[in-house]
Amino acid sequence: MKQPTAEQQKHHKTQQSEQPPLLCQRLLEWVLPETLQEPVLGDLQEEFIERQQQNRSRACWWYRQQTLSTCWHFIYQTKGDWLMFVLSVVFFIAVSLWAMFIAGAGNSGMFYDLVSLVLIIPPAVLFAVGATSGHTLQQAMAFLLNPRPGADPLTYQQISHFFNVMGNSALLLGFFSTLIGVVAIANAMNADNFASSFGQATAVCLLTLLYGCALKTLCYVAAQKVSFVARESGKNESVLG
Amino acid sequence: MAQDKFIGELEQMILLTVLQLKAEAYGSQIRQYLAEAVGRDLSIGALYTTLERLEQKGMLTGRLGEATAERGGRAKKYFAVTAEGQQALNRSKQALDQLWQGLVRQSGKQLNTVVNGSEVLL
Repeated sequence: MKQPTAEQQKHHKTQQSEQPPLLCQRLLEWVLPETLQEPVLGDLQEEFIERQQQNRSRACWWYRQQTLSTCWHFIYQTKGDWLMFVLSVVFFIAVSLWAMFIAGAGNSGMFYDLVSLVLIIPPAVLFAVGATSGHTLQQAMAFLLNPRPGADPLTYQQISHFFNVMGNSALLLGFFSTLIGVVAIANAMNADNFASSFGQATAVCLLTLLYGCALKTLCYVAAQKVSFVARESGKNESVLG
Repeated sequence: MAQDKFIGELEQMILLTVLQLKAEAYGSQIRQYLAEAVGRDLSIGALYTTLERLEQKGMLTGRLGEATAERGGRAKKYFAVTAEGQQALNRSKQALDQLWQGLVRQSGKQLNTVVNGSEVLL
């Protein structure tokens, strides 16, 4: 890791109270190409310090505006792949919510069940971590935040494996939990309470399958993204297949 | 191709600013100079996008300078106009001069019609 220079240490001691908004700095570091991080952040800080001598809140406002504008100019260049990936996921979620709203005739509450969610997501993540490692979970999350080529083929293979295990586990857990529900319904059913025990209970027990399918879909897209980035890096075409 | 050698208005402004600032031509100074001299208040992102483009076209060169405490220990990036950049500026100026002179040669009536009474500019 790069050690801080004497100038950087001096700066940290003397000007900690004069720092620009930290979140904006982190955002700029994330969006800007590596070669431009130093000059752009330095230029902004230099001007920010000049401005904050007159009015700190105005200087902060100016810095935020500059951050947004700079992100607007560079995000497609540096994070275009990530942006498209996020947009596709957001679109999928929005369309699903819309479909639930339409299907429920304005009452989409029937599609939300915390217990069913807990039966699917945590076990699926745990199975994926169990089948790979905690480090792979970190790598997978880092990949989702910044899916750029350059990692080694084995890392891509492990991340892809993580998403595959998580997606498949979610789907199988969905089937499994649904079967538990079906068994319970069948056990409680008799001629007198057929309508009341079959209708609503079946709808609830199918929710686990619904959540499992949704997670499987997202994991499938993520695994495909890993494969694409791996191929793009030109290092491991044969590893992922 | 000859038509590739012409540059846009913002690119011309930035190249001229870099020439004027000489050894002090780095992002913040260029931005402030443009705002004061021509009232063009560019964001730092817009400025660096254009600077990068000019660098890729070979009209500017950039080098990292010294890091200072008021910049959070970060280095400045100084820019200089290359010979190719100066040629592109001259070419654009000549092209614009020629077009303006073409207008001057026309009659006053046509001139008023075309530029809406902007003889002052000529």
